[in-house]
Amino acid sequence: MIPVSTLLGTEDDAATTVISRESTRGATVVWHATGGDNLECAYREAAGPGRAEGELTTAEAKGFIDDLADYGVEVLRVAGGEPLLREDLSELIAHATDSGLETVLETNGTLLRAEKSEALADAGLSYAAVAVDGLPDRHDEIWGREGAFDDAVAGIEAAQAADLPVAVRFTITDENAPDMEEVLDMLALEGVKRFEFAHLEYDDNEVMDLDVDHDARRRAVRRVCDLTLDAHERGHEIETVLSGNYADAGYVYQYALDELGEDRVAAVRETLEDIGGDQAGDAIADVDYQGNVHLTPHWQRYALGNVRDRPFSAIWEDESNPILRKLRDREDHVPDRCPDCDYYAMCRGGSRHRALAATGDLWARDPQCYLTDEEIGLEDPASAD
Amino acid sequence: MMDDANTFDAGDQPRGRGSHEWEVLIREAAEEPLRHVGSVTADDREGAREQAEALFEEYVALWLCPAEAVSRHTAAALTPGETA
Repeated sequence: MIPVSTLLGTEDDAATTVISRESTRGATVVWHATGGDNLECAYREAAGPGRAEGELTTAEAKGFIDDLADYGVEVLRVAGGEPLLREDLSELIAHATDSGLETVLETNGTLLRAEKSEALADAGLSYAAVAVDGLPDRHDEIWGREGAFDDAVAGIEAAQAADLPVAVRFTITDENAPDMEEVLDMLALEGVKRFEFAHLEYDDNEVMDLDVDHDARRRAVRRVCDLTLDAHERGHEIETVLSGNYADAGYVYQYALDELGEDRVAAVRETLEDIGGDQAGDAIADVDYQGNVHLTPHWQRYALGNVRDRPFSAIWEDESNPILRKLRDREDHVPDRCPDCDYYAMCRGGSRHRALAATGDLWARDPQCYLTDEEIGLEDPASAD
Repeated sequence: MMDDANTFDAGDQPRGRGSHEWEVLIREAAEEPLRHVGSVTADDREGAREQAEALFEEYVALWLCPAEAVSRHTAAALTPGETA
């Protein structure tokens, strides 16, 4: 993730993201706790056919969490399907926090009510990231049910009443990008302090069709930067992050250079290079509800192995797997344009699963890289692909 | 030890998420053992082959097996939720 408010803010801002200064292997694991869902989201592949199809049991999930804690995982992001459909969710969150893991819940918010919010807060959940993907009509259309927006906002209010921190997660598609400012203003008034803007990630063509073009993506990222500066100038201490596309790192760096001047950008570059770009197969891992271990959350069609056969820690350390090995040594494999890019150290060639979905070639250019040859400092643009 | 059935669990939980899961094995060179390198999700054998071929570039043999055809027997110590 790119902590925009931290990069563009000043040291006086309270709303700065605490970020890991270096990307540690397996630092974050996303676990899809259930294949069940109560809404059908337009930009997500259905996680699975239902709850009973091989979900990890409570005992299995606890054993899995114990292994993550022993291995040194720092953050467990519990996702779905819709994770609030699991009745043992608070018990598992408590088990994870007791084991020393920071826990985050990714939810559509519609099932977040007073009792569940209190139980999750008591269990030590750091925050709930609630998906809000547009103004009410747009959000309802994306999530396939009238009233989904109102229910998500009710969930946010229930969490806040239980002192459970909330973040809003806005996934940018071709339809909802114009809604970003209004959604942020509306929910900042509700007291939401953290906004996560996510680019569309996919490993199949159907979801790819919902993606925005390069100009729209560039405008969306500029909006996130502008509204962050604007909110801070107005005294609103909101935290903004971008996720899902490390071309943004180069863009945010250029934005900081233009808006903040050369004195400040050295620190911006240092932070972005510490974060280190795409972390598939490295600092971020994904485990689906059946225990299959994936290289990154939106690359579900390939699994390294299954935690029912072998602990996550052993799977993640096994570099006899050629794909894992290449991702960790990707400098030798990324597209021609990348190694000479000014921003390689803060991007690392972008998303490999998007490249695979778009071209059939794992090592092709990330289709979401919108930076021009001139912007990335290629001396001879004619040589670029 | 392989002869002590009490320390092994038979795994029979589904692995495919609304589709089929195919275990992938490759041999990287003639003198190398056939090695399990994960699984791909695909509706049919041809789709599984296409995906595996896109992912793995260097091999002399590629084997695919439907995950449900694999009889799994794993030491309890490696199984989550079980104590060693």
